[in-house]
Amino acid sequence: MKKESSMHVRVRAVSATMVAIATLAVGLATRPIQGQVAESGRDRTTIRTRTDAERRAWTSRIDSMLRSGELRVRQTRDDPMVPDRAHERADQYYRGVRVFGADVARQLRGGVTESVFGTIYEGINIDPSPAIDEDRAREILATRLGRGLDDRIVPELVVLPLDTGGYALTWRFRVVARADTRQYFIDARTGATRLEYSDRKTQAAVGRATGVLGDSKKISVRGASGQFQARDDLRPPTIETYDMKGDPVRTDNFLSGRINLSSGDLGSDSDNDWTDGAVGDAHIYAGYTYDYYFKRFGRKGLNNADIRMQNLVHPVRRSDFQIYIDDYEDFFVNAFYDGGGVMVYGEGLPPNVTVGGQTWDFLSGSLDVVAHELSHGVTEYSSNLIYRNESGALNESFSDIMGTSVEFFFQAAGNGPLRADYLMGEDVIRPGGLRSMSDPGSFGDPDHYSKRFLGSADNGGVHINSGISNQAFYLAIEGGTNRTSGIAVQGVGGANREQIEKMFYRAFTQLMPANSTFSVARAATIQAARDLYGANSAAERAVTAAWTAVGVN
Amino acid sequence: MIGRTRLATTIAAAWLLTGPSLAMAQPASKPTRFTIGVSGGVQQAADEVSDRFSFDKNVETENIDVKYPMKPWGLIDLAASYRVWKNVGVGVAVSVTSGKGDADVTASVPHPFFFNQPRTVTGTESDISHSETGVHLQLQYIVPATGRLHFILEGGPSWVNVEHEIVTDVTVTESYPYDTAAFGGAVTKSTKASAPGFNAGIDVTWLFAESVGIGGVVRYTRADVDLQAVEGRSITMKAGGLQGGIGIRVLF
Repeated sequence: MKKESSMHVRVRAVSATMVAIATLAVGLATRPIQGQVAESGRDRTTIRTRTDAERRAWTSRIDSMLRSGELRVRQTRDDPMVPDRAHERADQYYRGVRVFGADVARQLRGGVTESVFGTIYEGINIDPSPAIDEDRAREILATRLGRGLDDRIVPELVVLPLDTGGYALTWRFRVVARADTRQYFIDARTGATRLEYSDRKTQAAVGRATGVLGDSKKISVRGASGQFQARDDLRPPTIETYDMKGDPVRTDNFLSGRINLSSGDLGSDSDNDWTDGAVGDAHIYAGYTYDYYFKRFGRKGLNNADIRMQNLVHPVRRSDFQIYIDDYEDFFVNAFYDGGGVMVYGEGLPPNVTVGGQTWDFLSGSLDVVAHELSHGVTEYSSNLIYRNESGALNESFSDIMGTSVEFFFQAAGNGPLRADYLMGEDVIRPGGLRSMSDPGSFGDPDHYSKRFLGSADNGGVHINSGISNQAFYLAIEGGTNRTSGIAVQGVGGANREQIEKMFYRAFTQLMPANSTFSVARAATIQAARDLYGANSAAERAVTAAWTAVGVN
Repeated sequence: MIGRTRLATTIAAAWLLTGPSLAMAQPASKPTRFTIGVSGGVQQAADEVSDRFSFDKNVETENIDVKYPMKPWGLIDLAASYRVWKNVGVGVAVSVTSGKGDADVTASVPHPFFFNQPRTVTGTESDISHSETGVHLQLQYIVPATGRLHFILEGGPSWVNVEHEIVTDVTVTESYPYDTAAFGGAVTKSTKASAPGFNAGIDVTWLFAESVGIGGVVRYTRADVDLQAVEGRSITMKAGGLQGGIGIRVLF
């Protein structure tokens, strides 16, 4: 309040020093001032001062209007960015009634006008006395809407500049409802609705999505301009899912940093009933993965600081398989984390194409795949395990472990689609998926350190040797006998899987260095078990036995 | 129930203290033709009103249950009667009662991320206003006066107008991960409606001067009023109840 008072004094002081110019303004008020634009069909003046002469002229005009009551100061604020500047906003009134959409924003420097922008309506000539009172206008609108109005909705009498030209005295209502927030302008003479429009700005919305497997889930999106976009505004980080519309070159250009994506590239839907399973699942499962890390470990996203997560789907079209498979194989039969919170999910293969007898569906349709890729982001921002040899295998293994854990967190245990199990990617790579944690050997992966891959392919077998630590994780929970060593392990049981998950998370994100070996992973997980559950706890015994069973000491 | 007991006790006490002894002590007074009375008192709490409505929320259905516990309200009663023939009269009374109470709100709010995981929130919206205005037409039997004591037995149709604040929505406070939510407040609107009903009662007057006395009225009135909430949804409220009041009577 104190600031506003001092601003008024300043405005008046300026006015007093501008008497001579104010005299000139009387004449200016009746003819165009430089810096105003007259629009056809209505006496609307758009103010944008660009020269000193324009500033002087408009200062006089505004001061004159303030004195006569045609303008009333609505707000004065000191400039928080530039010293000695202040900003004043004033509304136009016609015989005591506010003119809707007519206001002036004046920047002052040391009390002197620096700039003026605004809109003023001229030539208003209507009776400002309403023939329909506020209560009657309320009844008219209530009848039109088919429901009563909240008592707290107080209409405002305004002069409405009409799109067709001319003016109307109207009662303005702003009605907030669940479906929309709307402005209504009820003619204060006839009761007709002169104007109505949605006043609801962009907002978070919840829709329904049908997944790749035909399942129905909720999807958190953004509503904007009558459309819904795959941007999650309900979770702390921004989660966006971009539809690359089968353009591998554009996808590649983005991943290479040559272009940026805009909101127009976001997956979208007109009725918020999403039917593009690849978009829906990538978006929803990214949210689930964030939820898992937050609820299980208290972690805030990939970098524990809510970094933005960007999913890219439809990097190619299946119908372009013949054209692009050689150049963009990963865009068909892979999903990968590209760093910086960017994930790309492959399109899969045409139905008549199989690899090793397996069909490939949209890779975002499998929760463990999405969680696996995002967990690479967690590793990137924590241990940053080097992506080759044993540390690379541990990097992959941690993603498999977390991917499976997310599955068990959200899905019921069992076999078949949308069930939690120890297979990787089985929902979209059918039958069987890509890897098994319970039996790595069934996919040709080692379940014992003695069988580890020592070649240079696959960065030293990062997707192969991950089977060793995957098997250790599985045995620590479920128990059982390692097929190679024959050593039996007493697991903690599925009901206590949280213990093992927390141990591995703690070890892989907080204890292990970037170039860890399997042996380091063993020691770190045992340390984590002691930290969390005490020495010689059942959890420690289980994980120790599991590592021993897979030959890691 | 408490209101009714207190009322009955008050009326009975007035009768015991003033009625019998004074009636026997005074000679019969001459018949009067007009009686005008004004009373202040209390109206029994009406039956609790329940309401249940739903919204689409997070692509599921949000259910909101509201209970309006009723309390005894203050009452002002204005009455006039005219003796038409012998002991038969007609009368009209206007009773006005108003007060504020609470609304107990329970909402089942769907989770924004998951199906079938609603959050239950409960809360109380206070200062819910309620008022009733009853116009009671009465056919009266005027009991022959015994000294200073006058009785009128009366009954007939009523027209009851109810104005009541209705909860139309609930605001919820929630934050990520949205597994719980808290009651943030209720959105209310005032609605009113009228309905026909009936009334029956007794009015007792003890004259302390030739034409002026103190009197008490006990009346039962009832009308089922449909209050329009939103979008065609209505709430049936059993308006009225047992009314009792004490005030001034003028007979002439």
